[in-house]
Amino acid sequence: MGKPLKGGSIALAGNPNAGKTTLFNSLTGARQHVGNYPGVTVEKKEGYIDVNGTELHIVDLPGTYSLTAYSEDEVVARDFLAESKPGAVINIVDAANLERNLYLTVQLLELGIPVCIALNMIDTADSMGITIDSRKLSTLMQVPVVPMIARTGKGKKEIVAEAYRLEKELDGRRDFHISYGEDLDHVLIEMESLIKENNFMTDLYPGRWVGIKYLENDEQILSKGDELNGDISNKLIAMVEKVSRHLESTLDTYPEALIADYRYGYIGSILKQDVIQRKFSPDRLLISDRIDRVVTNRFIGPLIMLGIIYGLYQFTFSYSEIPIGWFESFFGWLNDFVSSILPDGLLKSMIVSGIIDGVGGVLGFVPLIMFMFFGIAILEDSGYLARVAYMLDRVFSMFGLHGNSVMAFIVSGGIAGGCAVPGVMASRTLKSPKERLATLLTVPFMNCGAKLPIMALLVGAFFGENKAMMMFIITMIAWGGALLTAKFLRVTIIAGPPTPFVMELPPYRLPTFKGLFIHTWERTWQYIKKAGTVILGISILLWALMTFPNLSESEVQKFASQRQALKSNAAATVLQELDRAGENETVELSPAAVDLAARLRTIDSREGEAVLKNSVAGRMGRSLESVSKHAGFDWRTNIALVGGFAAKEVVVSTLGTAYSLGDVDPENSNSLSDTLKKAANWSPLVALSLIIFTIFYSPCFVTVIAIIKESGSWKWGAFSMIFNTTLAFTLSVLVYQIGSFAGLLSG
Amino acid sequence: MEIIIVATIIGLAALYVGFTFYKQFTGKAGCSSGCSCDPATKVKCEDPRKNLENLQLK
Repeated sequence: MGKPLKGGSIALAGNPNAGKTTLFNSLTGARQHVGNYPGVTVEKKEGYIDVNGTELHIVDLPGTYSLTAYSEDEVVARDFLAESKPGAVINIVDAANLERNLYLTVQLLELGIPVCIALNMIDTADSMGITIDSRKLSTLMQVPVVPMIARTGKGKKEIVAEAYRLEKELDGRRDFHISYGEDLDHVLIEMESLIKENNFMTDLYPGRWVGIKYLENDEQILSKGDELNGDISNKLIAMVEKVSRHLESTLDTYPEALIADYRYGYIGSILKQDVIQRKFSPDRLLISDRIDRVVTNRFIGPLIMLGIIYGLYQFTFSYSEIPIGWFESFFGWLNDFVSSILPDGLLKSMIVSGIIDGVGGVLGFVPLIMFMFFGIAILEDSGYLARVAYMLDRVFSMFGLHGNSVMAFIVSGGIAGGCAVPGVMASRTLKSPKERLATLLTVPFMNCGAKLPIMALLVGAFFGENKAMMMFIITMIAWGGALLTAKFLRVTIIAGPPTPFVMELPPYRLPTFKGLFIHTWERTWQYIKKAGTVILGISILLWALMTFPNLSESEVQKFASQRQALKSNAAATVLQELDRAGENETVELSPAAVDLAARLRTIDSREGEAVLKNSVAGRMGRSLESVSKHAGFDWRTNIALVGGFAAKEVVVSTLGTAYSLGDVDPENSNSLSDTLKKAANWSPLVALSLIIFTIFYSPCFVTVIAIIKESGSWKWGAFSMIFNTTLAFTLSVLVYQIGSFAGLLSG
Repeated sequence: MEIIIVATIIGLAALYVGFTFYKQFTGKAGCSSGCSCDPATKVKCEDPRKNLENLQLK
């Protein structure tokens, strides 16, 4: 089969949560994240499909309600449509909300791009008693209309065929005018004439469209126009001001409102021509509305939400306990097996302490991650997460954040198991730059998937009786801390007024097993892949930092002499017994041999600890100990926390390696959880202090980069590292000192 | 011999981690590297045009 020819590009555009990414995945075979809430896609995504031997470039755009761009994701969508000039646009329209969705369609047509309408979720519309005559709609709007169900792939081929035909047949723009009333039509003619005469932005946009954007007071177009030709821009603004004054005095309105009215009027006139038939009254309460009456109730709603989150943790910890035990047993066995076949030396130390005990510690939590993701996938696919955002808007606005911030928090791991990088990017949906900055600086406090193994390790080891409740408390601490920090930022360095929040609640949907399986597996696989690649690489590097430089010759000799002294004092028969037994633990030894073996292992352990303390990482950890001890952290924990800046999972892998290298309990090769429980420096209070520190301290490297890119400034990346670490340390010291003083959780 | 094997593994790990961080730093790994990127799709991310660098602080 030959290589497909390069074809044009087709954009997928539509309102948020209309199903664009579902169609994109279905067309390109990609597995971009799809969620039953608006604002999942904040950047354009590209893929390719082969149509009749031609490779078409498919671009999935962020959802937008209009082409007057307010937020960053809307700017991405508008710029691509206007400037990249795709060959055709598939406008995905939610069939159940046709009137509102066609508002964007009208604007796409005004922009002069060839459009075909994908009438998506036709099954949902049908179940709501809504019947749409797609042929009539197509005739009246003069665009192809294809009914479809993106989720099942129904209508997929037909819509691609229509887009392909448009892309091939229609070259360039087509005119589409609707009347905006006598006053605006008149001024639009004058504006269009001025724009065309001066070639003012006409290389990018149709002249009339530029005029409409001036009337709509579109900030981006106004600023672009001012940069290009200030004189023409000022003349256009003067025309807008004149007609605005006239409209205000005669109709008590302004151009933007009038334009919206006429667009809806146009849409209404089309739908009234028997395009849409409703079996039930539009005021009838649907099942989703009835559920929402209870679930989003002002008083019961928050209680249900807290109950669901607690239930999710209970489910996760209860069901993952047994498989986690299997994983721990497997890595314990692997440790023993590799130790028995490799001779003592650097390679064995690297494989056993660096890789198996390090990466194995992270991989051991795969079952927990899987159960957690499964629970979250149910909440997400059902549409419940959108309700959480709706309910939390009131709370968020009290703390200077915005309703759209909630989704960014949840994406970052608000309930657990997300990632701060897409969370930081999700802040693009916020229109106010100050609210956006406050959001992107506080989302890293959420319990992302990388923090989850740390929490699971510490909660499992020190709060085993109340794991779900402890996880619930950790979540509340993270949210409380993030909101209070946001409030602090919003009244100090990024003060500004709040902006209103409007959110469309998607209907509840019964999650499909396939969807749940795909969501769960993809996220779990990402976790496994990260552990097997970046975390593995970092673990090897940290093992090297925890191993080199080696002890000086005299120190090595000191331990060798101690061993020699023990052996010289032992009876020859005991030494022969130990030699015969070797590494084989099943051989029964005499009490004297057992005692000698234990003493020798203690010397090995002391030497291991001395090597670790002498290493680069050990020296660094010890140098921080004079400060970190106030929060209860010893030098091993310090190494792990510094490593956690690369990626938070590294905290677990580094603790695994640190305790494996300087084995504190030479009699046992237990799980890290058991090792920590037995270690002298650890107690439930130290674990709580470390949990607090982990929640709040510096975001990982990748998140800091995301913050720098999204804020456009290095200083905000540096701010998040310094501010967060200072806050985390202050809180940890408070918890540890108060706890120590009051004698709480001391073990 | 053992030290050569160990040094090689450490060198490879350093190269891999360095390269991964470089890709993340330059944005070549995609905006959500390590989180949601998938090889089946070429994710092309653009720096936001309307960033916050001109924000007026109080």
